[in-house]
Amino acid sequence: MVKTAGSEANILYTAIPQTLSGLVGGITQLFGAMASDPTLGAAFPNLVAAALGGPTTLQALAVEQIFTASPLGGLSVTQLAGLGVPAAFLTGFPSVPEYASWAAAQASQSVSVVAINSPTSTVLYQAVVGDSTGMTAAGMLTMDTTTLAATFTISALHAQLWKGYLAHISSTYGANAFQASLGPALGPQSSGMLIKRTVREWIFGYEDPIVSAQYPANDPRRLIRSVTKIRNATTIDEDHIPWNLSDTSTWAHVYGSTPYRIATGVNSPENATKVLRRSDGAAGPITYPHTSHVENVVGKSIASGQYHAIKTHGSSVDVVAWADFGMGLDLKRSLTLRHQQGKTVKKNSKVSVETYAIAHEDFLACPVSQTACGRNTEFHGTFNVSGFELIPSVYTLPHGHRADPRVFGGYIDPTSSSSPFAPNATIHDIEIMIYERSGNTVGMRVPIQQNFKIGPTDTFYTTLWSGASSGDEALVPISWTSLEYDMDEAFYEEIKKTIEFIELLVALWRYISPIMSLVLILVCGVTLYVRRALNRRLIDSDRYAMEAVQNNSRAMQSFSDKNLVSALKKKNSDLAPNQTDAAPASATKVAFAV
Amino acid sequence: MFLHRSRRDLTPTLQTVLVGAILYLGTSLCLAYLYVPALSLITDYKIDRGDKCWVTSTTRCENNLKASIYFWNVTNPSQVLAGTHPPALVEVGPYVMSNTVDKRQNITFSNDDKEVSFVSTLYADMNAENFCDGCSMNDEVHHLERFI
Repeated sequence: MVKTAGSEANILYTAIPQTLSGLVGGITQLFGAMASDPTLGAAFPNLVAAALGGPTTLQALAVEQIFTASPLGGLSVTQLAGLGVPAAFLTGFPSVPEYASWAAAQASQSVSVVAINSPTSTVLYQAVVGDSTGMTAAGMLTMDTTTLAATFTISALHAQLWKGYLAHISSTYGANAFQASLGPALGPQSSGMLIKRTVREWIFGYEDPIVSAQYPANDPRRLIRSVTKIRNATTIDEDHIPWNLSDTSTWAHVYGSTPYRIATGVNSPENATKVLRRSDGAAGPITYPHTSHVENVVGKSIASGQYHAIKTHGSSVDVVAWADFGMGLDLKRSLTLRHQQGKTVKKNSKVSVETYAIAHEDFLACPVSQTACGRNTEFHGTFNVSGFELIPSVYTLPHGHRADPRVFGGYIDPTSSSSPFAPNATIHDIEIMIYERSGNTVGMRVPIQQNFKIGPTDTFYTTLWSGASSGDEALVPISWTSLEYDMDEAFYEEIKKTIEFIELLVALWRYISPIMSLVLILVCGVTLYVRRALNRRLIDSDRYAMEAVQNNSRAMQSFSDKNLVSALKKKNSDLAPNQTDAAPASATKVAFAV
Repeated sequence: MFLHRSRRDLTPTLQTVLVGAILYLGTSLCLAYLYVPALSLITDYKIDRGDKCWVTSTTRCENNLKASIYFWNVTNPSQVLAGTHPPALVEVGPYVMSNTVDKRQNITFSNDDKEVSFVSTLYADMNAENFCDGCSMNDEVHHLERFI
């Protein structure tokens, strides 16, 4: 029931037909009792006449009492005690049940001015109680006053008062019936608008008397988990995926099990970690409620994206991520990640990672950005997912950081010293850490605050508008969660070792080896050249020496001829006939000496 | 004659060294200017079905995620219920979850290995040591509720 209605306030609105018809029934019974009382019957003969006409006539009189209060002469049933009506008759009317009396008090007008007479009153009554689903009544509450007045041919004043009356009986008679059936709002088993639970229950879930009762024992849907969908590690052996539910859109935001389809990067590294399908398991683009804005699923997995563009073009390029963090935290849109100058984080002597943040234009609101209009972003710095989830919700950064303060409806003034909010960019901004040389996401800090969106027609929460003008909605912060991770030191050390190895290869092949090679080439080249030159000289010397003693030595021709040499040889032989081997040498020497 | 002969013997050696040095220089330059630039620090990332986190249809892998949870506690619940005051809010926390494990189920690769689908569920332990001072899992927190 609550699941369908979205909130207990909506339950009460959709229960207005029963509430109103119940009031008419109660007044009918009261009138019957008064008619049967001799004293009161004498005072109100119209009640006696109606009672004689039967239940239908008496009920018609009760309806007339609701709209005009004329059957009691302009009095409300709550004023009958003063006329001697027993208190026991009136216990069912703790507050004014008639439209006419309530409207007169609200408008400070007489009952006759605000009364709605037949047949208009009959049309209004039948319109409300004739639709037992309550959608007609809820539609009246959400309809603007002019349209409501035109629809039922009543004045704008009457239309406004009628809407107020429906909300009045909803929050009084309807709420009392609601509380009577469900227990006190702050009780440990409460299902009221304010709930007290332990942190353990908020985080790991609790059983709600209304919602849980819809499901059989051991059904995971019995657990209400509105803060986070991370499950207790002690239950990891259990299968928490509701495979039997064909409506996979509930898998993530109710159960925390997110169905992904992503590109692996095989044969196309630029596509690695690209989200290929909306993560609620459905096919096609996302269509926003109210605006029919079509949001195509684009971008990389935000928690583990690999950005080939950063690897190839450097850190300054913008990249796009699909903003589904898993665990039901799905913003239903893409986000542009932009490099933050001066926020490089040094991990060790060789490795630094770059910081990326959400681009400022992604925080713009309608009508500054037409895309924001399509995304139902009415206020700067908000991510409106109302319509995608069963209850209207808007995500912001924690403490309303970077958000339009008006979104909190005036009951929180961030500029006041008493404000509970203390926005701090250091801890309340989203940061994604990317290693430029690989393009890999290596860390993140994603603080996100969950806020319930309360509309002005939510009569339980009227005090939220106690401050400045709030526009169409007010946010109530519920909790915020900072999702953080960073790769451990061993990861960065491994990269450092790889870098050092590559640097060694670069040094070896680009500098050391070429230099050594060049030195060797130089040494060898010079040596060979010198040796070749020396060899040539030595060869020439030897040749001179040999040719000098040869008969046909051209060396002798410069100062003697071979006949002279022969003569000298012969002379030496004659002068020293006993000389043996040394003689020719001496002769040569002599000859040279000559 | 000896010197002359040894000079002649060394020449082929020097020539061999020279040729070797030239070849080594060429090889080094090729490695330096062709191979090293093509050598990625980290090869292109891809999801490999052989990786331990993808190798079977169901895997469990640590993901280093830490979740710090803060509540906006309503400190005046009675007044809010009475409709006389807006909620007075106080931040309570953090309540920290760590040792996170990502359980992936129904891991299915496409025939060409270019796509993978799976269902991811996160599990974690409460890390009481990093809770706010004096905080425990039994702390009671009021807040507005509109149900799931």
